[in-house]
Amino acid sequence: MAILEVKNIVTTFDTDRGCARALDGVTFSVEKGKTLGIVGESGCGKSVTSLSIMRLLPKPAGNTPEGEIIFNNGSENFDILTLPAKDMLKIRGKKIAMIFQDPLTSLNPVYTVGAQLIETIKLHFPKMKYDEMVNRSIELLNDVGIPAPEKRIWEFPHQLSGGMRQRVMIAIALACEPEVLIADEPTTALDVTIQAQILKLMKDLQKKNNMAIVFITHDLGVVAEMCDDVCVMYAGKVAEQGSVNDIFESPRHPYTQGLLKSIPKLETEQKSKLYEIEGMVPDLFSMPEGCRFQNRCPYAKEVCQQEIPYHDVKENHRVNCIRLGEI
Amino acid sequence: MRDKNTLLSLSNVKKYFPIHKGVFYRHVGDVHAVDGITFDVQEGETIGLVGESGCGKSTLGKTILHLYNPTDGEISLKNTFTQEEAPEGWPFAEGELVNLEKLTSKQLRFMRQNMQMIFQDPMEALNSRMPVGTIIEEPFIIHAGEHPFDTPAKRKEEVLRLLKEVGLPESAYYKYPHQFSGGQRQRIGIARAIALKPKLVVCDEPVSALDVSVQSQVLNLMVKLQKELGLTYIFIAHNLSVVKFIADRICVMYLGRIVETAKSEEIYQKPLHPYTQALISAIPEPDPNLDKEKQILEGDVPSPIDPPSGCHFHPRCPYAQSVCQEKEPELRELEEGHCVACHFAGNQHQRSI
Repeated sequence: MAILEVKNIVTTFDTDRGCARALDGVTFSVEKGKTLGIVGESGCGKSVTSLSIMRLLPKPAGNTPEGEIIFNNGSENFDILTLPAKDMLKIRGKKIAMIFQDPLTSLNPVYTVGAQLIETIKLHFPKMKYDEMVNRSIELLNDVGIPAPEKRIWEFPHQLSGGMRQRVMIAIALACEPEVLIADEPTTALDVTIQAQILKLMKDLQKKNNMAIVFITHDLGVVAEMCDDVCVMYAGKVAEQGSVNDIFESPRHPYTQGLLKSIPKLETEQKSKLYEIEGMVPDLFSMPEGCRFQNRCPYAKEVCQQEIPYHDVKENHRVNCIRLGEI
Repeated sequence: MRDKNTLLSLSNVKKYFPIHKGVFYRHVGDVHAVDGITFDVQEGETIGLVGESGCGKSTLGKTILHLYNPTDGEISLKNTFTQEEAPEGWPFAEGELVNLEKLTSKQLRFMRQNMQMIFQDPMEALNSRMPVGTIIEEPFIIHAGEHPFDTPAKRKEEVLRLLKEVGLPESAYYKYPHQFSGGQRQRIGIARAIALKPKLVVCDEPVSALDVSVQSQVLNLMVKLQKELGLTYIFIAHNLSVVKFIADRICVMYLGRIVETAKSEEIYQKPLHPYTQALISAIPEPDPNLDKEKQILEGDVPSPIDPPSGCHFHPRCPYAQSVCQEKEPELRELEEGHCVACHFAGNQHQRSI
């Protein structure tokens, strides 16, 4: 049973140049205790997807998405997009929490780590006593592996290192034991050794709380390591989705294939010619008709200019390519 | 090691940044950004510098180009100018290694034709108020008289040739940097760096800010240019797969020192320093079935203001013993061309990854 189901959402932004369709029919679902990876290049709509789920799109440019986002944990079942704004406050942090990319810009520099943790706890448990909240905060910092949490809790974000800050962000996100965690590029700003620490921490916490994680990243290596299912996005659409093994071993969409071929791996021969995906992502206002990848696709033909349906290669492996059978 | 092919030679290079405090601007300490680096670079070679942020790799890159003056040590670049090319009173013979510290500012500026840099963030490195043509033309104007492009018409012709060489259309000449995507901007940065036909190019994280599909385009371009122009690269990056792809030899840095250096194949197959081993095992590989054993390092990189005694890595090293706290390990050559700075490398705790 999927705890979060995103059905065909379309997110648009009103701009001076007209209406930009940042997301165009995105569908996926996450199950309890599983991790879904969303990968794609910058500008493909990864972050807009997460903001759409959290209803945190910038106003007034961002319009409320069309489609359905169903949250269903067994006892409750509702569509996030139809909730009144007031009820959303009870969802954010409690049911669905989010970790942002850059902890230095998401933490408030003038409040201590403890104050920011307590703020979150207070919002969802207004009757809790202050001492209890402090103890709970220390416990949370301990859980995310911060040494000497009873001292660290009264420090300011600038006194912590990058890895530590990201741990604090995770602690804040986990403060109310959410059932879904959205992590938007949580390790992009970190070094590989620290990244390995944070990824391990997230896996451990997921096991402990049986959380569902939506993991947004552009690093295919991280996806292979962390995720059970993968959504490959291109220019606001899901190009291909399936289990991590399907995507990495038998990718069917030309974009996924190109992406996997173009990264240098450890066994890639030195200075051999790397595969290139020609050109670049088209502008949101001048998207080609039909398939959005057609002007970079080595297999593009005239048929690609019409509306492209999704094909099921097998159960839980969908590809958005009209020439699937021929390639 | 030092033979006639050596283009660049570093010997015990140090760069400290002083910290001042108080009303009297007292000198209270130093940031040991680069702390005694020695290596030689051969012509046409690519050296990869890897390490975590704060390990001093960018500072070293800038120190090599004398954008920072080294606190101590010697940086020598080969003089490749013949007597005819060199300005009057040029005291160096062709092929001689020249200590950059000893040059006058005029001589250093002349030498700079041979050493250029490609920056990480092309948007910040390109002047947003200048059209691309002017940006690429600028090195010719600064180094007027040192190249044959002495008239505006000749310079324009050369800039257009450079644009073509890096894969940009001629129409780019009159456009501004903001009209290009990240990958194209990096191409502009590369065109500017190779304009004066340098011998040595320091590339400071040239592909880190780019998307994967664009990253491979830029890497291919860099390999192509190296083959065509015989460039020598010092390639600074934190992405080890990228470094392995492009570099012939890799130096792994930790807190301002080199901990291991070897041929890039070898460093991946047989890393000898515990830090290198951990670094390599931490790379996420795009293969879900690869179940490699991860060595996760505890803690963070210590502050370079007050680095740990002895071996800088000992507080995080799983094999550390008392000698590591006391004595600084030397860079020992264990196998041909494979040097490691660890007391125990080669005799115990070695496990292959």
